[in-house]
Amino acid sequence: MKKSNSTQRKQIGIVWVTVCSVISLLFAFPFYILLSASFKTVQELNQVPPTYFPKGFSIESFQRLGKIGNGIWIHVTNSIILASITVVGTVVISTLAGWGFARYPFRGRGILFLLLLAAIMIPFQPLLIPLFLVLKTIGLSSSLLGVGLIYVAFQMPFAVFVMRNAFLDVPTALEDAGRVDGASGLKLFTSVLFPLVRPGIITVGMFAFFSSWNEYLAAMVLLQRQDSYPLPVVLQTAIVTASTGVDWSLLQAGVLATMLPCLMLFFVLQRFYISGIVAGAVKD
Amino acid sequence: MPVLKVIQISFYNWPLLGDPTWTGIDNYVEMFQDQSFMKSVGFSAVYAAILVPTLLLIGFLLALLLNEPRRGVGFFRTLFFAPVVVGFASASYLWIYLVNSRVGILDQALVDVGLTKEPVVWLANSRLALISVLSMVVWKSVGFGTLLLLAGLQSIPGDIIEAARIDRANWLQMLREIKLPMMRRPIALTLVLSAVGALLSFEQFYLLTGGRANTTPVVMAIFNISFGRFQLGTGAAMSVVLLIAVVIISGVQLLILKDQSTGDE
Repeated sequence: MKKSNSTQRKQIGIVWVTVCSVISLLFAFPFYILLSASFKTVQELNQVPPTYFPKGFSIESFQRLGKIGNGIWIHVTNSIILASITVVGTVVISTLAGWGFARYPFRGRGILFLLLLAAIMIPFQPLLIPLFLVLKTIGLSSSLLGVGLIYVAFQMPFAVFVMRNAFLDVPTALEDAGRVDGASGLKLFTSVLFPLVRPGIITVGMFAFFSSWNEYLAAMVLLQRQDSYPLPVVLQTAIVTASTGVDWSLLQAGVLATMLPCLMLFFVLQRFYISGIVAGAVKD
Repeated sequence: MPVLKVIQISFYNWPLLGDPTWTGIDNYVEMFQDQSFMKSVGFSAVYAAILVPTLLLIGFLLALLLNEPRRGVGFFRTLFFAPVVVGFASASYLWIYLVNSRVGILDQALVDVGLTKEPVVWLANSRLALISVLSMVVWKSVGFGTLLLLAGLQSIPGDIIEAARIDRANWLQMLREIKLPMMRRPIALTLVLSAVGALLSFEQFYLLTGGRANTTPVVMAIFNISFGRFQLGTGAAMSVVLLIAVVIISGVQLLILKDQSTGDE
């Protein structure tokens, strides 16, 4: 009985691995196409019919990418500035606010938290018109700072929610022990609390990074000068301005360059990111 | 704040330059008479109606696969989830190339396998364009729902599964009698999140199909009228309608979450 059970389990295992592998190929296929296209020679990339496997290896596409828009490094810098503002702003404010919501009973805390929960469901897409007008009024139109601040604002409800839960999970006894030892305020935070809420901070930071790095619509509407375009927006010039149709080599090399930081960050820190999604959406 | 502002703007004739004038509900009347907007509402509804169940079904099947405690499961989970972290814009740029009828590999493969004689021009025909977008969105975002559903599966207490196994419940019974009822919340959450995502979609159409072949969703219609024709008032009225739709759907989500946190205590 036991033996037949284990052979049956092995058979199911083989079926399982086969099914998962086939699905994996489907998921990996677009990545393969992107990778092979980016490293084909430009001539091979534009060839009809296309080749499945690259015949030659070349970094020609990346050399050409250097000249996209106002020069690729300007746009990489723009993307990095936007992501930095968003990540730093979101992490700092949501950590402080989360701490406050979790630990300090102030007047109106309940109502404020309910408002925060309600704000999670407000998307930015229908609010582009007022955001556009506000940035114009305060003189921040086409400014990376303005767009970064808007990203921070829209990250905030979810981020505060995550950080509040992170602080709630810290046993009050630990905090009290730190207080008895004479730590207070900032000292208490850096030495006692920070290591415990670090997973929450990483989750919030990663969400902020992915959404600001990849955001397209708001950046396209609110940043109107080409020299302020971040990567996803400037890549559009490979479609729009090419006189001979889409410039495939520019586009695919650009997509690879845009995706790579996200994928690398995800592979390194996926544990935190995945647990953040699960905790934020299912547990609480 | 911006919410109040957009409601205010929706009652004005608000040009980009110059002074706004109060027009009452004119913008709303105009919106309902605007053929292209009404068409985009219909299109977004169809898109959501196809996408949401597709994401749930595929996501659920993948979650069941990933729920097996076998070697390699971590690798597969990482791979299925990886596309979630790339942007919609990047994925759209990638798909334009993938489905291109001249230099794209997909068409060449279809011809070589013998499924079609001529390369298919995916983005010119409304049905094929929709299929292209759907394939991209499923690839890019099914991992998210999979993860939520997987977390739901794993939160089912082991002794319940064990008890059912002792009662000799078969695989299908296990799914129908135990897993599905206990997964109501993650399923509802997946449905809500993908429905909201579908209603707010923009890049996958603006960049991939360019709105050709009748594939203009609501956000793109709003974008066109607000920032193409600069009729901010009318765009704001459309935005208010979209906002209400999203809030209603998300309100359901909030109820689920609230229900859940009180239910656990």
